[in-house]
Amino acid sequence: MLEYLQQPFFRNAVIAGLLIAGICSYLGVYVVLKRIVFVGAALAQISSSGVALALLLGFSPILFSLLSSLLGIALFSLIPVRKKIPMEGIIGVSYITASALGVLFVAKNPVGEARALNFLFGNILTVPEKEIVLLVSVALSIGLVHYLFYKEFILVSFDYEMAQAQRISAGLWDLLLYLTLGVTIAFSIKSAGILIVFAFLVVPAVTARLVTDKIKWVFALAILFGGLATVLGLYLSVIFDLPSGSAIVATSVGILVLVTSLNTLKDLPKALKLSLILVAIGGGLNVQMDRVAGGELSPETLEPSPGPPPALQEPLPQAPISRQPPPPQRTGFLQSLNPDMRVEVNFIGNKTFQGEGSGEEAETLRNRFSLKEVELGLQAAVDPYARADVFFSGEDLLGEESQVSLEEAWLTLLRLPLRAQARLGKFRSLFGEINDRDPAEFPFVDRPLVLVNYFGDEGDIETGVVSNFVIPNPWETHMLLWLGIYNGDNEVAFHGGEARKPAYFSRFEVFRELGPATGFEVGTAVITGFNDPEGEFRTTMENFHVELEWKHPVFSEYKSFDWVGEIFLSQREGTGGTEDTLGLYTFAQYQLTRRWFLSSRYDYSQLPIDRDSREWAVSGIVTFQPSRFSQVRVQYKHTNRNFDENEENVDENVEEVFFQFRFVIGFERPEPF
Amino acid sequence: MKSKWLIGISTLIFLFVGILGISREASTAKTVKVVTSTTDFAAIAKEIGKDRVEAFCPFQGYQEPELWVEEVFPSWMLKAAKADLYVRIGLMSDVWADVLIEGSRNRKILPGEAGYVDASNGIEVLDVPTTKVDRSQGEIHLQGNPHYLLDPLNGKIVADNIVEGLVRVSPENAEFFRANAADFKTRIDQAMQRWQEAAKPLEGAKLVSYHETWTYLARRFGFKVVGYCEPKPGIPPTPNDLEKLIKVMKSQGVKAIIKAPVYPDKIPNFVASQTGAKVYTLPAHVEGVAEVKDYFALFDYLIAKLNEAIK
Repeated sequence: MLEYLQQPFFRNAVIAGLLIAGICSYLGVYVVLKRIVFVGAALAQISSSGVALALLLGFSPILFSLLSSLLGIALFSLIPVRKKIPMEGIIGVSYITASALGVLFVAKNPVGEARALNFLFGNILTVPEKEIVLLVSVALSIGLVHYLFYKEFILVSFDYEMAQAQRISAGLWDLLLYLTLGVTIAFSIKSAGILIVFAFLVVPAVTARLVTDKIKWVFALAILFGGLATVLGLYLSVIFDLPSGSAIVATSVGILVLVTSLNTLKDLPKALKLSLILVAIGGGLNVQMDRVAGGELSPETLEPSPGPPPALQEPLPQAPISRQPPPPQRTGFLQSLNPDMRVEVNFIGNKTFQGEGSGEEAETLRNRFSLKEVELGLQAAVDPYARADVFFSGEDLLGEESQVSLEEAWLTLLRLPLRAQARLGKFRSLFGEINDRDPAEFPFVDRPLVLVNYFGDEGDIETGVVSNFVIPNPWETHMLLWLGIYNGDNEVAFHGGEARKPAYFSRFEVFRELGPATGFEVGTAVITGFNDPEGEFRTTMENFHVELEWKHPVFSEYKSFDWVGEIFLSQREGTGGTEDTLGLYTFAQYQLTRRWFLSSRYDYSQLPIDRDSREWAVSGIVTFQPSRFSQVRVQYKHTNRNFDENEENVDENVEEVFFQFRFVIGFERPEPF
Repeated sequence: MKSKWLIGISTLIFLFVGILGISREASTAKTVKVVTSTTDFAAIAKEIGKDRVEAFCPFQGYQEPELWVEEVFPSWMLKAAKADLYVRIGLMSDVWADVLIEGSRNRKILPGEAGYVDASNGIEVLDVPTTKVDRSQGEIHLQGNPHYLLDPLNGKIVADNIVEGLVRVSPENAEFFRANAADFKTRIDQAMQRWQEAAKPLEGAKLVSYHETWTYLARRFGFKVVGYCEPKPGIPPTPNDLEKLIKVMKSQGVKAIIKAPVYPDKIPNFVASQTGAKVYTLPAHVEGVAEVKDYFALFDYLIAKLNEAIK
């Protein structure tokens, strides 16, 4: 078996088959238990006729497959005629009509009846990598929807009247369930064909139902039986030179027959029955493995399967030409295997004319100079597959509470499947536009009010894993999806690491290049975790951000304009209920000359624990940049707040002036926009 | 509950968008997709690959890639994600290309892979630092001057590097690419004869430049750059610096200041007004001005304008 997995086509077939088996077998539980088996068949046929029509007209088959599935769902869910005509009648008419239309469209297709039939009936051995990406997307999306709304789907599927009695929009949930079914069928048919899809919608669920009554086990066993049928069926199809689809279906039915037989031995414990099933399957596999070991069966000795996939017919590439040698070492090039190193120094002075600034850090800075931070950054490639970034930070080095610590350390995995990348370690979370930047890199001296109030003076630094995926789209637009799990280490927003319950993170950003040297990004993020050690109360936050960066197309070093806006929403649960609050800031900077910049910022923030406590601020900033590696900045900030540390209602004004000198020595790596 | 809906709806939107993206018909033409750090490389790649190559450069010809040091646009990563070949300047002057390649997630164009070309390979690099390098020298070219394509004979070496890359990623077109590369190099040799003839008046001529852009061009065609508006690379001049430059120009009779489009006019215009010189904005890359549509047109234009500058 492992030898066959070396073949890309077989490997792709297994992956595609498992994906389709998993999602169809799962949905098949609903199909079987809701007694809508025929609906699955009808939807599959309607989807197929859509594909045939697309091929006839020259449109995208996947799109038409999806649209026709949705049409079928609408027909079954929304048509009022069902009150006079039984549902089975509507399904039957739909099935027959779709079948006939499919045949007619194929017959009329002048270009390739074979192509059309291949599309309709699928060939899982010819699934390309691109389709696997699509199937993964579908499986993840449908899986996520079902994970989120599992309770609702179960309720409307098995106790519709109860759902209506509870004033749950049972009709809408039913429709959503059908939608997920239709979408799954539409995409699975292209890869696997009608036969396999319909079989997976029925047989594994029936088999699982014979083993247990517990619904969660039914789902799990259905997926297991579907997966087993896929792997075993594909293996048998290659060994015995059988059509792959039929072999998978036959194997699935074989498992059903086996379970049924065992089920007759009712006195046996269910676990033993299951074990017997697995032993039987395993024994069968072992027999085959012995045949392979004995040389009776091997990829080389077997006849090729009918219709070898097109990928195998491409000519092999010629012997590779030797790679271009690396450029010779130049004199003066100091770094070889040592990491790229940089030291960043952030020196801040503050004069507060009236009131007191926000947060503990403001008190530290008030009316004094502060070597706010000295950061040592080390960055290097670990190997061709990963890069490491480590940052040590010394803070408030002139003060009484100076400390040196490991601020961030993470590994970036660069070459994951599906072109994903992942970051593991301790790092500033990617919630929002500027939280992941070191404060010294901000285009202003202090942190926006909303970030201080929602995450504290240091922002949100978390330990965890986050991965990102480029989302393919038809608009040639860069869309990036981030998904992550953190400890919830932030003490202000979450439990500060006292609970063993993680926080979940998601971010989606869209970038568009509006012209030479002009970029525009819009994004949203969600983070949710518990805010108490017992894990009873949850904090959920949402972020929306916009950034526009314009540089003069020719004189990009001399004229630029930046605008950033972020909105933060927080829902914080506590003993007194949920507090819904918001905060925002907007910042704009204009480059007057190569070295001079003028900017301003507006802040507004409610406190996350009390929406009636709020503060706003306006800042004017002037920056002088002698070179790319140093900046001098003066910031005037006016703050108004209606609360004080005693949480009494006040009307307090704060007037502050900040002075900042920031410089960097060493290598500064460019970053993505 | 709200978050569940947000996540759920977002997921369905991703699904829909992803479906449309993946189901879009791919280009049926079997062209080799090349992404380059400069428009010059793109032009040479097209000379070699003709209609079997699609070349993309994130920058316009009037921009200067070595000055792009801060952010890499994700849209460039999208283009690079589909590339078969990436051609970079090298010499640590396009460090942003590392971020671009990494963000593209395209394994074919990673350093060391078949689709990766460092065009500086084999170039005799000028202005290589021979002493300790640090930022007190400004934004010094850490491994030497990267404007090597302003010497047409270096264009032949770059063509060799690019054609080897194209052959690695598209061996079925090897013969075609090699024939076109040989033809390109022959045409360079032929054009050099007329360029050297046309550039004879430039021998020994003295010019001032804004930045160290024209070092290779000066070496090849014999003119001398006797001063720079920037005292050090990337560092704007102080009044003292300008005063010294004006003195040099007057004492040596320099009548022209040349600069690439990306540098401002204000300082050169001021210096010119003090010395009676004229300022000429010259393209440093293909498509730097509208008339320069290919590598040959670049030198036709430069030599003509330089001759005008020294009159």
